Amino acid sequence: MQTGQLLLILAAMIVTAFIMGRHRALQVAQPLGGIRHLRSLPFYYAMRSAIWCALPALIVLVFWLVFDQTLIRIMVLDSLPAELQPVDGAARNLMLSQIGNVASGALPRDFVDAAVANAAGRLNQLQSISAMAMAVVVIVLAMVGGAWAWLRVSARMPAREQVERVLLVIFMLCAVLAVVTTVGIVFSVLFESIRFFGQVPITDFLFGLNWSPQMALRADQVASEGAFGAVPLFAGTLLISAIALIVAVPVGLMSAIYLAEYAHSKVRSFAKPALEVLAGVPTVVYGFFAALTVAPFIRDVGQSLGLSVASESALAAGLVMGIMLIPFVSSLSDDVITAVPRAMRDASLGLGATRSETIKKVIFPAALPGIMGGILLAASRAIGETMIVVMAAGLAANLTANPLQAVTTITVQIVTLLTGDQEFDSAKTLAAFALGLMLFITTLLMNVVALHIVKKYREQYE
Amino acid sequence: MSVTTEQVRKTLARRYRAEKRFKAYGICAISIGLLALLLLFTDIIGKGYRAFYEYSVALQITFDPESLEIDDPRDLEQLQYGNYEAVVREALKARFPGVEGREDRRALTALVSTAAGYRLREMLENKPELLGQTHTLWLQLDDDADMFLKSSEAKRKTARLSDQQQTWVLELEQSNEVRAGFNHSLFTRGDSREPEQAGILGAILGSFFTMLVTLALSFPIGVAAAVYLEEFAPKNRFTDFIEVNINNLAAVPSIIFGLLGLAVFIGLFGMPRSVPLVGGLVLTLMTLPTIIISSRAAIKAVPPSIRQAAMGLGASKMQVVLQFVLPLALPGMLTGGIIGMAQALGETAPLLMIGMVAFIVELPTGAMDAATVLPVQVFLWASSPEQSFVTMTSAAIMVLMTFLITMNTLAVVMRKRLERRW
Amino acid sequence: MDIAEKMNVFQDAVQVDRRVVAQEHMMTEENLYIPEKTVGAPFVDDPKMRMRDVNVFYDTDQAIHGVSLDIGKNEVVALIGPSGCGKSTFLRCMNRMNDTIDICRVEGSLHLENQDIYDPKLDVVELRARVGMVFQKPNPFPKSIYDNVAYGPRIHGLANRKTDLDEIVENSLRKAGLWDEVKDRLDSPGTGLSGGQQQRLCIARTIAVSPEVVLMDEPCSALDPIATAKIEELIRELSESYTIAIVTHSMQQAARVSQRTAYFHLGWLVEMNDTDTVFTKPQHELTESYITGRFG
Repeated sequence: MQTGQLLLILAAMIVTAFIMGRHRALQVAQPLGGIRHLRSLPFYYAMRSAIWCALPALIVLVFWLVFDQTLIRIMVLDSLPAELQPVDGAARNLMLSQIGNVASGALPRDFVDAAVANAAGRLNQLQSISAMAMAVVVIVLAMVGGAWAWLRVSARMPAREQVERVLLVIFMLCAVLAVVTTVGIVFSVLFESIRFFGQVPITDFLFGLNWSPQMALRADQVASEGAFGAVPLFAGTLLISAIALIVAVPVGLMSAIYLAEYAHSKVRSFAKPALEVLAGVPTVVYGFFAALTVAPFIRDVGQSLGLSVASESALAAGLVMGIMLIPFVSSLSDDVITAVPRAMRDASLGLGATRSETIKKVIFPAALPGIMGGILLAASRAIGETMIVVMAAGLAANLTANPLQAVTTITVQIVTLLTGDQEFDSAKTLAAFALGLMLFITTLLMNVVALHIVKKYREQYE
Repeated sequence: MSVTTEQVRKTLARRYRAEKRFKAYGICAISIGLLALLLLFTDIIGKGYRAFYEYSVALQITFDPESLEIDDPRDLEQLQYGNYEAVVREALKARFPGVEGREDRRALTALVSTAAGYRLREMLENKPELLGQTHTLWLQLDDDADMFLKSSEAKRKTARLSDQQQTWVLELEQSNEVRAGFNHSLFTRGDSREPEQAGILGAILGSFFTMLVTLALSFPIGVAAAVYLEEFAPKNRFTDFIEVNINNLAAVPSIIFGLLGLAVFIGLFGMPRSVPLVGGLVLTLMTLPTIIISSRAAIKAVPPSIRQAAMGLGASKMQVVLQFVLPLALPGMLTGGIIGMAQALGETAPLLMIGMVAFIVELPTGAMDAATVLPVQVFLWASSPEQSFVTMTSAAIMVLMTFLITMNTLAVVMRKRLERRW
Repeated sequence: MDIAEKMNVFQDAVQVDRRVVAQEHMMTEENLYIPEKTVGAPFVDDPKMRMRDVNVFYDTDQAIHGVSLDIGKNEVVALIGPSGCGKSTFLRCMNRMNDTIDICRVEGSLHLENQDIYDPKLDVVELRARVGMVFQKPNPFPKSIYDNVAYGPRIHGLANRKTDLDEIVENSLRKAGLWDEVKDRLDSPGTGLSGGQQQRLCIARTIAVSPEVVLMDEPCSALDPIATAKIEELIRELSESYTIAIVTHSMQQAARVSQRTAYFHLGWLVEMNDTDTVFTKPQHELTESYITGRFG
């Protein structure tokens, strides 16, 4: 039975439980003299029945769906004869995909070992058993739950309190999901990184000057020969981010100041949404723009000036990333500038200061912590930005500060290492997670500091 | 006149110059931003509008049983292995009788898209009586010839057609045997290696299923979390910790969510790669902070007097929240939801991590079919060398931007509505 | 009659009409009326500031209706009246602080000695250096005490040397009666002072530019009685060298610090006279009602 059908049946059962629960509550109430004598409204008895019907069944269903494939795979592999047992992770994946292909009919049975064909048969068998068992268990649970709730309906039962308590727990779990996500991120990058650092010493990774992960694929070379030195990536990331910030910070800040302090309301009502459109452009579009328009333009200009410019120069990626960050910096600065109390402005203007003097000498210094926080957030964005650099920056890990040359970044390497058909635990793949860990730690620190500064700043003027 | 006035007058000119300079910087900054926007849009529209039409050529096609190697058009196997290219080749040979030699013939045949064969087969399948008849048909041109016709005079010199091919195409153009029409395949097909046969429908469907999963999960969860944090959460360290987490997640680079999806959903849970379900799950985690933060703002905006009034009538806290606060906060929450969805629709990086970057020709039919999404399709086509794919990429971007701008406008309109109510 | 004269007549007619409307309004509400002409003696000989027929509009709402009054040299004029009567708005006209509000429009003639304040050729920067302002809530900059006071002299280039600046800062702080309290911590932030000290710092900041007129917009409304007493003392001292216009909520304060008092009601100037006369023998019922506390 398909999961979709099962869900439909379950939905029907929940509705039935609701209706029956309500009916039962009314029935109980009738001899007592109406629903006034129930402790809660019939609706809550109905909801209670529906919850009892749905919740246990849904929980089991989700766990089943999440874990059945993993369990079935283990069972199928165990059924293989000893000589076919895969030795390592890579072989295991290969074997599994082979069995899977035979089972789905994509690969004829005659092409493979008889034992593999049998395993494929077993896979199909286990899968249909699993699906049947899941359907039966879920439906029985729903029925038992619904029936139990139906039987327990009584005038004195605090149905509303119970329903509300369940809802509250569900709400709380939703909020806790944020924590779970963070924990998930930390563990997923941390575990793979630890495995990576088992193969490549962490000092080599952090301080090595040579990055060429391809070497690890060659059989005659070991991963730990200094091919995973990430310094060129850090330098490249910093270079491109710095270019981006040099563009975005002055332009974004001045735009915000102009719009907040000078612009006519007509200009403001046009320019603000226009800048917001710039913020809504997907990064892949910026990447396309950088790679196909800006980079060739910069190269041509450079050539006409007699400079040698790489076709994937850091300048092109940085410039376009700067454009992407303009609205971000601008809206953060706008928040901060408008938070400076009007009294400050009045005091300065009342003393005869011009607008620009007021901005430069009073508003800007007062808003500085907030602006610094905003810049830090923008920097964190620049470091974590992926698509622009993937499309417009190079792959070669050059250690250079020349913006006209090609550099590569952390995010580019993560994408390069993880797209394509890699084995899940080769040093190459693991290196991507180690880079991810670095990226996560860096941006996390920057965000925590930035958000703290901005929060403190806001509190100061509240 | 006082001393002060005298002193002040001395500095005035200098100070007003500084004022003007400062204002000019501001105007410069705004202009740079707007110019960048203008440049971006003109560049993409300039590159992409040509993808919305395509050229086809009029050919006298004879459904000759011999060339086709088909004697019974009702036999599906014969239909499948029919030699349709031969028919097209014959038609071209008839149109350009002077062309001799293998090389030249091949160059001539290359002008017509291989899609022409599929079209002939489809026609024959639907109308078997066509066999043996001759008809004038408009057949799709190959992308190189198509690009040549779309280019301006100056650019034609750099086209990827040989001189001879160029003369043929020009001859067809002068005798009005080619015509431009709406590019249907752009909106009705999945990806293809041949630019003229590639379309964005596969990617749009992939995006649709991904968004469906994201919306179904992130909106209810986000609203529930916002309600909990805003209305029920006790003021303690754990609640603070949750809040810090949400704020930080909102600023975590999206690619990190991709790593999470790869390690947890695919690595740990054994979910398949490249499917919209996993994409939707990853994007759910990514958009949750946005939706929670805006939903909380919407709940905060509901005046406390309404809560107090309902509480005063003896409603429980949960009843007040569900029956009074949520309906009033809903427009604001929807606004946040739309903004979150727009963010998810434009996202690329995390989807690359979970393998939604594969070359997929078939149109996906559900959330468990391998698929790609619109921004990833843009990424894939942008790295193809053919000039036609650059055009296609820009067209895909235009479609993507249309969706995004529509969504954002909707959000702005809803926010305006909301403001009017309070 | 030329066009200008016609316009004047027309405007006068409109003016009268407005008063009649307002009178009717008042008659029903308070059973009192606003006089067609300001009662008492709003004008003096050789005034420092001369205001005639001042109207102020916020968008379409009129906040000030044809107010005419003089402020004499080195005198303290108190502007009193119930809240929302337009006294602060009127005060802010006098150094064009209302310019910072987009929808605000000022009509009429306002002169600082012979200078038309609303002359388009006049420079606001120069005007505000001559007419300083102290605000309702103490608003020191988030800078050091020294930098707060030195701000005005610095932007206007009043001191060429550091020692000159030091001198201006010390003198201003002394005049504001704050020197002894802060001389050891000139580098600590001005925001760290108490409310009363902050307000005296703001006064020191204003007089550091040596203005001719100081406008004070309810300078004590955010302060406790002891701090208020100090500021009032300060105002009396300052009146020896500056012309001061002060808006206040408190009639006692007006009585204590000012020589002349103007009573505003719903944007009209009802009565203006010597402070003693206003408080002991008010000539208009509205003024009397306000002073005796029948409304306010």
